[in-house]
Order: sequence, then C-alpha cells, then structure tokens
Amino acid sequence: MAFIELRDIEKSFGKNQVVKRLSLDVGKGEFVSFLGGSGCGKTTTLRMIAGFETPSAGSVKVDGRDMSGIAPNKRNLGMVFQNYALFPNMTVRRNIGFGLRIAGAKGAEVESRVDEMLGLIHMEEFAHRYPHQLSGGQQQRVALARAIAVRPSALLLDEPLSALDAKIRVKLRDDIRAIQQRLGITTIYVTHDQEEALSISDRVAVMREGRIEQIGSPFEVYNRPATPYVASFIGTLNLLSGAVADPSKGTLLVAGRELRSSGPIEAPAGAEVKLSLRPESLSIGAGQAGHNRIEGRIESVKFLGSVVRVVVETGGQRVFMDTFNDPSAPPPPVGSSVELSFPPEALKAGAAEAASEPERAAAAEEG
Amino acid sequence: MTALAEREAAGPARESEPGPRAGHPRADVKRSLSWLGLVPFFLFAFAFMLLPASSILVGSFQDAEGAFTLANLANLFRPSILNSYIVTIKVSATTALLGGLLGFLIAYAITLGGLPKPLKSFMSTFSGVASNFAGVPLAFAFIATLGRMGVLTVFLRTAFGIELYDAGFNLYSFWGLSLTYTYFQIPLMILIIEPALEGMKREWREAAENLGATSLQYWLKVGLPVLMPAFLAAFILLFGNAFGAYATAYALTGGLINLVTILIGAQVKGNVLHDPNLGYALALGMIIIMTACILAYSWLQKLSSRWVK
Repeated sequence: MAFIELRDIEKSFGKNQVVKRLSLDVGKGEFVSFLGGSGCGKTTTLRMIAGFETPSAGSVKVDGRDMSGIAPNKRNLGMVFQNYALFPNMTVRRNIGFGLRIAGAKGAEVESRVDEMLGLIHMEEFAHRYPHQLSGGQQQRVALARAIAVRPSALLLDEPLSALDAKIRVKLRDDIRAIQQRLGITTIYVTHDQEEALSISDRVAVMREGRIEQIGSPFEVYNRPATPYVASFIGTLNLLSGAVADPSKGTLLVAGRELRSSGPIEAPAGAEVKLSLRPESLSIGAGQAGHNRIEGRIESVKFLGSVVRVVVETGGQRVFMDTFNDPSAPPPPVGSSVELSFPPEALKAGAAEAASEPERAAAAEEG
Repeated sequence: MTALAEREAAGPARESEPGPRAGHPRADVKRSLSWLGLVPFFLFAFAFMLLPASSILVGSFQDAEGAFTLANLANLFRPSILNSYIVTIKVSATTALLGGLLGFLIAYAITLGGLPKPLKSFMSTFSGVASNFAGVPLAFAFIATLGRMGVLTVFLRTAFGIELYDAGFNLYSFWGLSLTYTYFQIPLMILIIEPALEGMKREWREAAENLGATSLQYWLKVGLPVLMPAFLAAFILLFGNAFGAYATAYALTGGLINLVTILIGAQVKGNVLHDPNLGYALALGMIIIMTACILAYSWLQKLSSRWVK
C-alpha cells in the first residue's frame, strides 16, 4: 500500500491550470523526485501535499489518512525550503528545537533530540550561531535537521540545493540521501536538476505542464524514456534528421548512410523522421560487427572534466559524442576526419518535442 | 565533516572578490571624493544643529545679563513646568502607541494581507502626504470636522442625536490633541514599518506552520521578535515627532494644553512670560529627554536584535 497517495489532483490559479489530474503513489521509505522545468507544477504539487495549497480537485492521502481540510500544522510532514527559511532570531539550537517546543516537549527531551540532530548533520560546534553566521550549505543542513527533529511521517524538499554552489550541492545531496536512508523516511524531492534527481532518487517523476510524463527508476527514465519529451529532457540527446528506408527492418538513411535503429519504424518508406541518439552511445572507430557507422569531421572538442565531448559534423548535421577522459589517449585534433560507431539499439526513431542540448547549442552558436 | 570543507571551499572565493583595495592610489582618491560629498551635510549639521544646540546649552546657564546662573535649570522643577514635561511625554507616548498600533495594522493589511496592489500603492502615496500634513492646516481641518460646530459633530447630532461634547469628547483636550496627532502618526508608522513587513519571508511563516505552530505562535516566537527592532525604531521616531510638535497644538488649543514646546514659544516670543533663558533651559530639558529616549532605544534594540548582522 502506498504511503503517500495523490489521486487525480488538480490545481488552478484563476484560469491557469498548473496541475492536471495528477496521480502518484509513493511507497513507505521511498525517495521520489519531481523533475521538470519552470512552471511544470512540481512545486505546486509538493505544496498541496504540505497543505500550503488546496487542490482544486482530487485527493491527497498520507498513510491512508485523507489530508483534505487538514491544516499544514496538523499534517506532521517535514518541509525544507529552497531559501532555507531558518528563523533569523533563533540560534541553530533553537531553530532545530522549534517544532519540538511547539509540540510541548519538555526541556531535557528537546535538548537531547537537538543534540542528536546536530550530530546527524555534523554541526555540533555551530549550535549557538545565528543563521546569518552560517554558509548556505550549513543553513540548509540546519533546515533539514529542523524538519526531521519532529519525527515527521514524510519529508518534503522544495529545490533545497538550488541556491548553493555546485560543489556544496553535490556534497549536500549525498548527505540528504544518506540521512534519508538512515532514517528510512519517505521523501519527495523537487528539483529542476536532472543530475540531482537521477543520482539520489529511488524513482524520478518527470513532469511537464502539470502532468507526470514518466515515472520510473533513474535507469529506466534515462535509458528507456517513455516519451520524446523525456528523452530530450533527461541527459543530452543528439537529434538527427533521416529518411525511412525500410520501416519493418527499422533502417534509415542519414547523410547517405544506411543505419539500423532499435526496432521497426511506424512511418512509411521515404518519410522524414527525427532520430535520437545519446552522446555516450557513440564511440570513435569502427566498433563491433553490426554497429552503425557514420563519418564526419571534428568540429570542436570540449573538456568537461571526467568527460570529453567531441562535436562532429556529419552530412550537414552536428553530432555530440561523449567519452571518458583518458590522459593517455587524447581525442583527435579539431578538423580531422573521424569514423563514429554505435549499436543499432541506441538509435531511436521518433520526433522529440523539445530542443535537445545539441540543438540549443547549435542555435546559440548560429544566433 | 562538511562544515570545514565548505569553509575551505568558500575561502578563496571570498579572497578573490573584486573591490577597491586599501592603499591603492585610485581607491584612496575615490574614497576622498566620497567624503567630499558629505561636506554639505556636515556644514548643515554644524550650522543648524550644533550651533543652535550650543547656543541652547550656553543660554541655559545664563541670566538676562549674560552672567552664569543655575536658576534656569532650577526653574525646570517648578510644578507647572514639570507638569508640562509630563503632559508632553504623555501626549507623545500615547500618540506613538496609538499611531504605531493602528499604523502597524494598516501596514500589515496592505503588505501581508493580500490586498490589491493598486491599493497598496495608493496607501503609500497617501501616507507620504498625510505624514507631512501637520501644523495650522491640520488643526483647522480637525476644528472644521470635530470642533463644536464641526461637520461630523453636527452630522452626528442631526442624524443620530449623538452629542459628542456632552458624551465627554473635547477636541481641545488631551485626547482631542492626541487624536489630532494620530492623523500624522499613523501614516508615518505605515511608511516606517512597511519595508520591515515587506522583508518578512513567507517561508518563515510556512516553516513555522509546517513545524506545528499556530498563527499566534508564529507571531509570538518569530514575527514579532523579528520586527521588534523596527518597532522600537518606529516608536522612538513617532515619540520624537510628537514631542517636538508645536504649531498643531498651538493652533488647536491656543495654549490651553500645557506642552513644553508651547511654553518655550511663550518664553521666547516675548509676551508676558518673556524669559529666553528659561526657554533655552526648557529646550535643554527636551534635548536631555530625547537623548535618554535614544539611549534607551539603543539598549533595547541591542537586546532585541542580537541576531541581526
């Protein structure tokens, strides 16, 4: 049985419907992320669970209890906000103990629980500081401790890391996941950062225009996107134009070369289709027998740290290829000819609805 | 674990922040020019604040012939003068509290109450004008409205049979004067407290609610403590605003209410009570009271805002 159940919930602000018949089950102890761009309804959905927004239709249940008409202060759900929302007039210790004191806990009980929480976030030495005396990452850690100090039935996090530096973000997201697993607390996490969602979630719900486009494990969502939008939103995607050669065999013509796709194509022979291809599925060289091969010229090489992104121009189209950085094997020089190969199952036929990163990058360069 | 790592990560970034460096010739020139911009202020403060204050201080210890005397200060303890200080403080404190409370409620309604934006803009403009509407025009407006033959007084009498003055109201009394003062105290409070209310984050309230707090608990434990420094600052400003008012009280009551400012006017203007040096001493007494208020305010503000940067 689901611990958090959303059934056909809707939310409209005036004429603008931001959440549309959204249903979701979250299991006990599960970590689910709502992932999507601005205005996709992810924060509004979270706020409806927390009780800060009332659904226009549908129901929210937590542990079998219908939350309709229950005020936020009676729901026993911990929430962490994007801008920390620590009370500026209270020290770290008093912030963490706030909910406990409100609940009527006695002094020794509060102190003991606060000490436990300070230990959990490794901030014992900051107990008597005020929020403005802490860094952003430390403040968010305190906000997390404050939310879980009251032993909530579930934890709701609204883009908790988006105001932090990249390095701290990575560290803190790992801390959040570790604490969540240690406590076994059901968690819903809102983010627009796909790497964040994919790295810490049990399941990711990709949202678009008030609906869940796909929900699944990070592996499923990334490798088996259910819709073209998900395919283009998650990760980097090459979008190529091609013509169908043989629909039943799934073959296509791209830049004069016949390529095999992952399966039969639902389009007649000769039809123009969009093809999607992950950059990491490409490799330099002829590859294994049965692999697709394309030739091109290296346009640029981008060093991204552990990954090197090679941009190849082939038949008037631009293809991104990602490969791990290997200090002993530098990428071929810019301007040189290169053969790229990839397995047929990596090539998927079907029009993606949103611009992929290569398309956006190309548009930016051309513009 | 992480805290140290974060500080280490943040350290170099702070060091590399751009900005004028101490000892750099261009930075020094820029700083000198910035000081030059303050010269008009210092000149103004010297000519119209320090010099008059010195003059008051010296004059308080002189008799009519210019000889040193403590008689003026001793006269401040005469029952009638002591009473004038008490009345002035009472009027100032009453109107600061009344105007502060009502102004806060109105400012709350227009900032956090979810009222339409045009209304907020209108109220801000109106407050700016109304807070400066004092003196003879304000006194006349109140006499025309709430005087014995004022529009509202007559309307209440004819429409509802209510005799305001028979019911104990008197515009020319302590409460009448206080009511008149609140006309400019309320908008002044709105102007002062509105930015503080704007700074209240919605998430604080939501976080408190999420942690089980009721609205009252939020205000008692978070909202009011956060606003306390602004409250104190507003109160002291409102108090000072009423404490130094002269024209409104004089035009309204013609000296019936024994305010210190009216007493100073009587001593300085040279009517029957002409004694400029006593006037100086009275003004010195006001300066001492305001200084004491500001010191008390600083102390209270320190207590209430330990958490402020």
